[in-house]
Amino acid sequence: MKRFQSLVLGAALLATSALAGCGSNNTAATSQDTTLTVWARGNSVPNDVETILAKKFPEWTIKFQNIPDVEDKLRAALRSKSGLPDVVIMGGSLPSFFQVSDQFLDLSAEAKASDATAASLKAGVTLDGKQMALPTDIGPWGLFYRADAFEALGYPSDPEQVAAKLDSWEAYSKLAEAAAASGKHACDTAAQVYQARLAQKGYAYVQLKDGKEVNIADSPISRDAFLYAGKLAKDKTCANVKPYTPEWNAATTQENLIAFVGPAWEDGILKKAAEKQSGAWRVATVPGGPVATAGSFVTGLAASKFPDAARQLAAYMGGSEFQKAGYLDKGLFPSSKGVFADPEAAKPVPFYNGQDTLGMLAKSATDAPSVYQGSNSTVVSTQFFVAMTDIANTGADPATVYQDLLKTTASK
Amino acid sequence: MTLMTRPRTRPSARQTLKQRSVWTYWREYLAISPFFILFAVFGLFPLVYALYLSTVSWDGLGKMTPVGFDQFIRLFTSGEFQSALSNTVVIFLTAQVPVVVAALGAAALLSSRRLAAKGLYQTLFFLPQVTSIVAVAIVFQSLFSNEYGIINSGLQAVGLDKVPWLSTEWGTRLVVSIMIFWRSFGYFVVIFLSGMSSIPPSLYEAARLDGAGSLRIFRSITIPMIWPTILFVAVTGTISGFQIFTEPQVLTNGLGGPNDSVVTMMFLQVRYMGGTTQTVPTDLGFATAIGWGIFAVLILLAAINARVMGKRRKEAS
Repeated sequence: MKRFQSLVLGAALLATSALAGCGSNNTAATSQDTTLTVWARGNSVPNDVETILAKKFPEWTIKFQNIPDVEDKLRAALRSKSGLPDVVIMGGSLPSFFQVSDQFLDLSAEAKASDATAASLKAGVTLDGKQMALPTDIGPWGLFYRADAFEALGYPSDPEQVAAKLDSWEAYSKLAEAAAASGKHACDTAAQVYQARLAQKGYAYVQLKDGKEVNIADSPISRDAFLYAGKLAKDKTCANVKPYTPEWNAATTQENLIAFVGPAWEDGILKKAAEKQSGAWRVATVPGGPVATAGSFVTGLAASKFPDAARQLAAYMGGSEFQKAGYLDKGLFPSSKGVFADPEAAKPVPFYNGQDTLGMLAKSATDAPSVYQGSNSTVVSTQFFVAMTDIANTGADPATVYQDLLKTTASK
Repeated sequence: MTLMTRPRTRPSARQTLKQRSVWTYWREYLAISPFFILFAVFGLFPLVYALYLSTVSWDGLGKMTPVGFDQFIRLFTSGEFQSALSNTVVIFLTAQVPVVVAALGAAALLSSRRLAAKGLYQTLFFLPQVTSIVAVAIVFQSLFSNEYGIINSGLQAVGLDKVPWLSTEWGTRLVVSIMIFWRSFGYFVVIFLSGMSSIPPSLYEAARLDGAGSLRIFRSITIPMIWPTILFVAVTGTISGFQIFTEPQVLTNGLGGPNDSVVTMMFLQVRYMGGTTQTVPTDLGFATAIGWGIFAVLILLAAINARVMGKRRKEAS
């Protein structure tokens, strides 16, 4: 009997402790058994991410997983509701996850304490006002150009003077035509020019009306930008080479590409392709005004066993210290204004002949209008991008192509 | 009376036998159960689920919208699948068919006893199979790019015009076909070589003594003797040829080439599954319907293959 009693007592104790364990999981953020899993693409975090996180949160076990197709994996995990990470860094397709925002943590308190630019923070807010993600890097755009080639064409070489001279897209067209006449190119692909013009107006095919997304693919903003860039493509004024392709590298290495408008992260491919042209390149403001597009975001999963810890970790990864490491290691342009003012980051860059490119692009990031990205903005944008490439290849009439595109995109 | 008694006794005997057969052989059932469990989990369940998915419209995250047979109607009426099927057939005919014929010829040459450094040739031919497809795509982009490609630079150096390889429909298809040819050649050579190695050398010696030439030996001894290998290559080559995806995907960075000229059936399915380059809104329902379309095409091809090859085999024997 005594044996039976002790068995019952033992089982009750075990059950109580197990239940207590379940109940206390959510608040055990600082306990030693806190284990967090982080998913991200390797190229969207600093080199020694595991060391940085372990040093910052020594009491937790943080497992970092490098996942190249992180959005696809996250979708699959959300569908099966298993194998989810605690924290994830994802790219520009964040708006497609807004419809399941209940599966993510609300980072409103962390956003209030964040020093990220207003536009980048806004990009992580869902339709119902939930701060689902915090920005970890952003893409302010610049006009990258070779000073010596500009001088040869009779243009100034100083970034401020270049910005003053090329203050409109009409002025940029004249430059691109002059460059093409001399056998060089002042734009890589017309599709990038088109994208810059749209972002400059805070346009991404969708707008919010009474809290709902409305398709505005057929808009004067898009039409003007498409016809302008379409002319550059049709006339073969641009080099017709897409960034991140061997062609783009060849055009740059062979010194045929002397300027282009592009996001800050293209600094990485430029430095590699134009290694021998170090000191010749500069960055100026994009013609027509500042431009910035979304980069990467960090978010926490609601299914996390340690939501408080996940929030703290997400806030740290969206903060200045972590972003500074990403900028210094991989040129990931920070959204944190704290990094803009950091002397270790904001310093002369030899490749740009000692120009403080961070300071220059930070101004664009701060002044650029916020772009509302709808759930299908990326899809429509890709279709316009492909159409622009087709114009460059076939010489088709931009106005006709635009009208044809609207048949498929105006309803998405 | 006999008729009355028999039914009473025999069912009970059957029942006992049934009970015995089920419970006495539980060990045997247990032994073979892993296959059936795995088949049910990874084969049967996905099939049933795919059937269900093809009746809904779903972006993979939000709510599913039941649409009945609309996805199949869309499959037959939108023109996307037909265009993808036509692209697949063109690429198959210009890549998979020539590579099998060329590999057969190369294997015959390599199996010659007089050829030196056979191992080196086999290694060189097989090397593309183990090369990273991403690296291969970068090399092909560098070779065939319109403005700064190595081939176009070469053409211009000898006074010829540039060829718009990657900006025309025919050019992009041709480059994809060359990529497939280059990658698959070694694999088929190895398969044919293994088939040829099983032919007894005495047959060749006898044929030579009878005065047969190389072509006659190839036609009358090699081909009939490796007929099962040819059948295997024909079936697997056709199935893999109609599932072409990686080469066009990596070469065009997921965009599908000019006017979607290299969007094959599998490419189209992955596109609707929400691939990394989003050119269409994700719809897993339509992607599944495309999957059923591919399945139907492959079944049809396998049946044609079996019929044609079976007929030829009979003729040969």
